[in-house]
Amino acid sequence: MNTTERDEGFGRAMVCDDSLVHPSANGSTVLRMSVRAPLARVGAAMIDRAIRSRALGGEHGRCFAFRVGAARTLRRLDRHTNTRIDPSRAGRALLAAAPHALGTLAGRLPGGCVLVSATNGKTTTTNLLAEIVRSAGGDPVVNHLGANMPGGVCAELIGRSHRGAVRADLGVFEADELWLEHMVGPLAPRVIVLGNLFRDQLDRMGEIDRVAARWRLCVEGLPSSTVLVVNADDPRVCQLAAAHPTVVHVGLADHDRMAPLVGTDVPDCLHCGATLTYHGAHVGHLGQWSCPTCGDRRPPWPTIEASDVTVHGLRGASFLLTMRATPAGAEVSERVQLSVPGRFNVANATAAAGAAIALGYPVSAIAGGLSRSPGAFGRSERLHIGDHVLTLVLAKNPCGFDEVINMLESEPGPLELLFVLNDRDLDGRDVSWIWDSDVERLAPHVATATCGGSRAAEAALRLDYAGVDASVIEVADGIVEPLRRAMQRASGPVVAITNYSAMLDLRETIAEHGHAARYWW
Amino acid sequence: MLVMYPDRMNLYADRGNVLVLAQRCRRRDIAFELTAVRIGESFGRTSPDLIYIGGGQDRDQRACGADLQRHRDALTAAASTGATVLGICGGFQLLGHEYITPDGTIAGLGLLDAVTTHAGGPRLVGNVVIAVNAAVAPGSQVLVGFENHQGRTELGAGCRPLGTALVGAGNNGHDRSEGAVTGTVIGTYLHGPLLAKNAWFADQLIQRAVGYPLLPVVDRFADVVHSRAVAAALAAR
Repeated sequence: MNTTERDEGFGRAMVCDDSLVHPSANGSTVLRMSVRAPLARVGAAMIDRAIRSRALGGEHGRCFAFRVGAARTLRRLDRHTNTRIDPSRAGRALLAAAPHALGTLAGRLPGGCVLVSATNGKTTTTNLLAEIVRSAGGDPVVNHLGANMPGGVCAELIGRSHRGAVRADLGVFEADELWLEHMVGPLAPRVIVLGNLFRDQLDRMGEIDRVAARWRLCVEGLPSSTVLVVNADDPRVCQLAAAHPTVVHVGLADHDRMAPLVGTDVPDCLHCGATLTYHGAHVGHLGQWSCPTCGDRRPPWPTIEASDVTVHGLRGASFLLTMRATPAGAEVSERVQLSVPGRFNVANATAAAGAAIALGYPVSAIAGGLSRSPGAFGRSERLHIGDHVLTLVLAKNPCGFDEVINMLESEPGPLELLFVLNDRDLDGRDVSWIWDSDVERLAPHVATATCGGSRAAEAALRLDYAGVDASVIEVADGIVEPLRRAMQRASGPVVAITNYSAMLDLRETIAEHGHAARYWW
Repeated sequence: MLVMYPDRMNLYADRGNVLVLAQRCRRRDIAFELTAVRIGESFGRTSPDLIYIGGGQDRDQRACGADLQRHRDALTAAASTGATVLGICGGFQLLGHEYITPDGTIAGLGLLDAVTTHAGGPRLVGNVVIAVNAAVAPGSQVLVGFENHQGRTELGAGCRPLGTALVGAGNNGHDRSEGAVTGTVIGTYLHGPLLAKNAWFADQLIQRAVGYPLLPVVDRFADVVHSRAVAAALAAR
């Protein structure tokens, strides 16, 4: 099974054979995996129990060092077992035995750490920042897989632990919005990026005003030495951080709308409760907001600003990055070619740039690092399967879906769509959000559409009512069958739009046929 | 069709209900016109066949509820001349007498004899299948959807439930009633969107509006969506 990576200018792509489309028996790989995996699983379970056991002694000193070593082995073993194993298991085991572990290990990082939190874009922003650090010659430890709770961060630190030290310069970690306040204490970050707050997965998060309130409390407890990188375009985030003395603002000067789309959750002014007005908006409720009553408004000269944005379909985006008050004291502008697509990722790039400025990185590293970044895990990624090209795009709420529609509209040529919708707990169980998005704009571009996942019929219905010719829509259940049909029917590249668990399923299916690196590592 | 407060009472894909009606009219060459009334605006000269109020977060419901009082006469008149008034979730609560919350009571229109209370206890969330009241729809029809509400609604003698919950909690979690109907005024907690998952009901609303029996549309997907949703909800019960 041959897979190689190829640099394509706008990001890397996996190149593989086509046995997924035309399946043939490939027993040998399967056999090797099936003997190793159960052995590794048993060993891992034993080590997990051992780490947590009190028989190992206390939680400090040599006993701690021993546990860390065992956790490292556990983490390595998890690579060889079922890919669905939670990669933060080793971290959670260590934290159960030694609750101070997160702070202790993070304290061994010579450069401290950065926390990145937001409803959308945490993973991309984290990865972009990590690339900037590498561009400047640094070696960051990053929680790649979106394992953004204490166990996940701890697992990454364990992975770099060796003889009482952590072999990395600094930590760049994404943090779940609800866990941020619990991680700030032990990790003592130098910089915290607050990207945005969006309404998402109603039945898990509850109302976003509650999250904003918790963030505000967290910010109030921060030492003034902690730098906050704040998205100026998001009124909630901008206002809740207003009282903190050390803030770096980032934002987009470019707007493709005069006001937020109808139906967008527009916040009220945090200071006086009035409804905000906009003269310019881009994604969702992000844009040039101002309060007609108390006069508060989007900071006019953010430290990092993106302008002159061009969206290059699914392949990327380019923009002019302006950095004000750089370490050298002047204002600098540079053109950036991003290999992650869409206006929203331009916003993520400004957040990463803001964090880099706060850390003291030079301008050359910032623009260069952003341009060199590959697409982040799973969100929008290109796979070559035989003669076919499959691009995976994630959409799990109306805002994200609208962004995807934006990107697909600027793609050349007719669209061969694979639309996969699941409704598991982690997807929010209800997919009615597909009706809140402007799928109508996509309809004229669609050549073929194959629908899959547990909610395949609803995906088809949405496309049908959006104006896609019913005769080009096919429905198949599950993951494998729709994937196969989509590629058989397509005469060009296929775009797969999926929600979260459907994306994991798709990648798992493709990985099982050897076509993409197992996505955990 | 007239949608009230589309910019604020639109929490759960209410737009989808409008899209479904528009499409199903278009496929039958029935003229479909959409108007909207926002806070501070008036009905003007429109005489809609269907008036729709969607769901919203608490503070939107409060603001819209206050404004809604101005339209009490217009809505009552519309209902009495045979226009359908459909309220979903927050809209349903506002069609009742009142919505009692810990932060104060929101007055409704009283077009439905129902009172909603913001209760302690768990949120009522999940798939719902209801056997529709025969007075609303002849034959044993079923509506399927998704509920997500903290409010518990109790119905008075002046209205009847839209249906009986076979799966899901319904209005209040104890008497199996779901929704409410009085004449042409309908309230329900079913999201989905309601009309995307239940094309037959969308057609019935259209039929009421045009006043003559409809020809069926060729629709590959709507019925599949309905039957699969019902089957999945019943299986998971």
